[in-house]
Amino acid sequence: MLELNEVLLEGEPQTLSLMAHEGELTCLTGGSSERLTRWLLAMLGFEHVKSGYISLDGEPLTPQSVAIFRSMMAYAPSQLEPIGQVTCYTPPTAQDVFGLKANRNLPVSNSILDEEMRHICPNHADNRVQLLAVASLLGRPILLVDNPLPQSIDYLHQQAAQGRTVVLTSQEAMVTGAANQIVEL
Amino acid sequence: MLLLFGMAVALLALTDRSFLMRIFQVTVIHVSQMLLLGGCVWLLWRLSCWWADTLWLLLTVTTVAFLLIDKARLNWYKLLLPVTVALLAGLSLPLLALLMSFRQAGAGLWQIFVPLAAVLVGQLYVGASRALQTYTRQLRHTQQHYQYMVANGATHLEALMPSVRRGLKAAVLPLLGQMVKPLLIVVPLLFCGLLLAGAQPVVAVVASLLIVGASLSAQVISSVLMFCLADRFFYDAQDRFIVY
Repeated sequence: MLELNEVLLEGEPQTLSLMAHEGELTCLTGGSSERLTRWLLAMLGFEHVKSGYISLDGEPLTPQSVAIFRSMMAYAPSQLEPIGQVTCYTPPTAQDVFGLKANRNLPVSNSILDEEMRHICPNHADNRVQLLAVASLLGRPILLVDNPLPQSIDYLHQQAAQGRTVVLTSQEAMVTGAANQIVEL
Repeated sequence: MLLLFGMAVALLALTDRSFLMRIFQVTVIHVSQMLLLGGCVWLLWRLSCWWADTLWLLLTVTTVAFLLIDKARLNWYKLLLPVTVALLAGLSLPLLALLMSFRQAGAGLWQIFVPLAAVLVGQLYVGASRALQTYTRQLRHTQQHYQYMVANGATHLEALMPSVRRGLKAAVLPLLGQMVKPLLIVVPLLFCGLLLAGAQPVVAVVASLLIVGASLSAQVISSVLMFCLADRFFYDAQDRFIVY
């Protein structure tokens, strides 16, 4: 179980508490998309927590435990863009992620990735589909999804049904309506 | 020579009067710096001892470190020591190799130490400055990329590799640019200097090639060390980027 207890991030006006359980879809909503993304990044240990705590199965998130936290999570951002103006930017590819030392032994190929993308959304022109497929194929118990496509909600339910904890952010009524738990910022 | 210089300045002033002040300022700065440099080298040659040369090298490298941290808009009080150590360490081996090669050719150690170190430091200033600027700019701009990779299994080093690659490329590109120039037309200054000092053309060619090789290795080693030693000032224990 992923728990946020009265967590206050730097620059956030109020604290947030939630308990994300296995087999459930927990949806963060309200506020701007940047703020929602920050909360997902906080669960991964990338944000400064001013007060409160984040824990996973009772183990608090600390500099010592952050690697274990991340090894239990997979993250699908809504987009990958450089911050500010850059002359040349090459976003990371699926091959970059599966080529990492930690993921090298996963039985993933291009055809499996394509199949997964078709499974998420048959018309997979949106980049979010690939990012979600990559995160999902990592096979980790917690799936953090930033602003998923409304068409992928069935797929996310299937992931939760397989025993995963799915935490997502969205402003779309279709997504929030399908979640087991809605947490308003 | 002064007359020719005056004529050139007068011609420039005729075409663009506002440019005259800039030429005057630059000339004054250049002449003062040359006088200072000449005085320092004269003093070092008079002293001809290891501690004076080492002190000069240390001061020069520290100044280079300060300038390139300032150019990259970073906190110099945090980074001055790691960057200075990285530059010194990266410079030491190639400089030692160069000194040994020149010594075998019969040159006096205290005569060649200062010019060889000065050439390497000069090249290092250009390369390392570009490396640090590109690396920090890349880190600032690609935090999403970094977080995505770390969140999905990358180690800190794996996630940093695209920035390291770009930083290293930026370090060596100016030198590579010099190397591909048509050397029959754009004759390297160093080669001309060696000829003026009375060296045989073959010796001048070998010496120039050795210096280019040493510069390249100094830039790569210094840049890699700089990225490693400065890393704890860029990222905290939770891999959060702390430089903005």
